[in-house]
Amino acid sequence: MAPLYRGTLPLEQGPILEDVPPPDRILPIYVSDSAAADAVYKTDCGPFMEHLQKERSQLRPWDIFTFAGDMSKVELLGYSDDINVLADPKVMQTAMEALAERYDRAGLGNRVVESGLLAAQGVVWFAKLTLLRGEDFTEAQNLQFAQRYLPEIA
Amino acid sequence: MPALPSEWLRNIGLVEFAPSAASDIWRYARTWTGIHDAESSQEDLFRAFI
Repeated sequence: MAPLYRGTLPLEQGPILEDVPPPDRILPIYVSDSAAADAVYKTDCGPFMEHLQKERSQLRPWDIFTFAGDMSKVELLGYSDDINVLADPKVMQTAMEALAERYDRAGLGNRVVESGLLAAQGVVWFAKLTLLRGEDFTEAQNLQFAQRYLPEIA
Repeated sequence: MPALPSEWLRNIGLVEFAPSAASDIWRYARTWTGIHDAESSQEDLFRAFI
């Protein structure tokens, strides 16, 4: 999903990255052959098969988030000590609201939050965490932020 | 519950796969995890989120 963030970034001194074209569309996210290859090679266990299911107590932010930048944001919000707390829908909702507020302050509310992009990421993060905990990952589509910003899946 | 999260993401309309990307991901997962049919249990799901 990282390429979907691309586009002009507003700063006090003026916008930067103006020459970076915005994505043609946000949803549904198109997964090309190239993106699928990235996923296979960069997913947790790929291309090795030694990674097996972990105990819940062993789950870490890098088991949930693809990018270090997202792990860092979660640390900033204070959820990195035990990532399992985000498996509680209410806690996940609070975390997503905090992220949305920060993106909005950064001038990216329309592009990242209202577009559904942040919610789409939240759905994937929650689904991955619940999957790793042995729970029903499809519950992610019932999360409050998903219902609000992703009417397509409601 | 779908065997693969990526299949679920497609079912709910969040993602759209290039035809060969979808089939290759399925083949990859089936090869590495021993998922051979739609009746696979939760324990058959492996750690990767694909």
